[in-house]
Amino acid sequence: MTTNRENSGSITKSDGPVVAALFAMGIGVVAYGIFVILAEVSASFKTFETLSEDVGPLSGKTTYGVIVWLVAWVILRSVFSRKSYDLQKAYKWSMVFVGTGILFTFPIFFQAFAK
Amino acid sequence: MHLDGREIGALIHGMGFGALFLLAFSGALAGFYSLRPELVTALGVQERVKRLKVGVVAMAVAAWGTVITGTYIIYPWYRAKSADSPKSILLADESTAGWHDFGMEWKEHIAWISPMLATVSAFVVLYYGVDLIKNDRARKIAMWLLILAFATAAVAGLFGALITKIAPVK
Repeated sequence: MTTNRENSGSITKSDGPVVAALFAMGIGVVAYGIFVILAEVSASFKTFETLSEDVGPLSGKTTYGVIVWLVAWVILRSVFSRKSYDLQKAYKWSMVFVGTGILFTFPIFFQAFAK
Repeated sequence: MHLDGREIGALIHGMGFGALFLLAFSGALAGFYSLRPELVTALGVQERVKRLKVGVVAMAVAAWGTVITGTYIIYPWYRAKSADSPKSILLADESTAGWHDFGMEWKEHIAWISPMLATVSAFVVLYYGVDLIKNDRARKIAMWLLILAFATAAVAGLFGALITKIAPVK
């Protein structure tokens, strides 16, 4: 378990679990964006993502995206509980992932993949 | 004065969870901003962090509540195959089709990013607790996650309000 020494000199909690949460969030948002694109690319993916007939493929895109996010969080949590990583760097990378995910959910972008 | 089932559903989604989300965001943002050693006493920190925890958790719960009710209660009414559903009405006229093709498509997708961001922001606050005041980097990260969660929800909320004005769910 690593610790983080702040300016005050006091020892605070390890940043590991937060680093894991940030990376998992980035992975989850990008995965969700990929599921949005996949529904445009392939009819069989659209069917695969249609978990609810009333809701349509949005039901699968969101469910699978959330599952990827939570699974990534659990795995990364165990990885970063033993490993130290710069919090600021993790935040910057997570923002790159989140930005990419937001781009993937932008209609003009994902509709360009429609067949 | 009468509200039918669909109007009540829309109220829970927009005015219930949506309003709670807005309220929690305002409180949490103020809490993050003022959580600095030079602004609070040692005793004050305990109270501020407790309030901040309530704010960020409420915001995350409201964000999940908004997207789940929106997706599983309101959206099926919106996209129903009947000719009088909002989606059918919007697509029937070329001048309003963009509200579905761009507005609704963006709204329904971007909205789901907000609860993930809000949850991680809440996790950061719950994890560090009172230590957050000594960890300015973590405080700022949690605050910016909260702001981004709000921004993504604002896009969804804005399009939701505009689309409802043009083709309300009835």
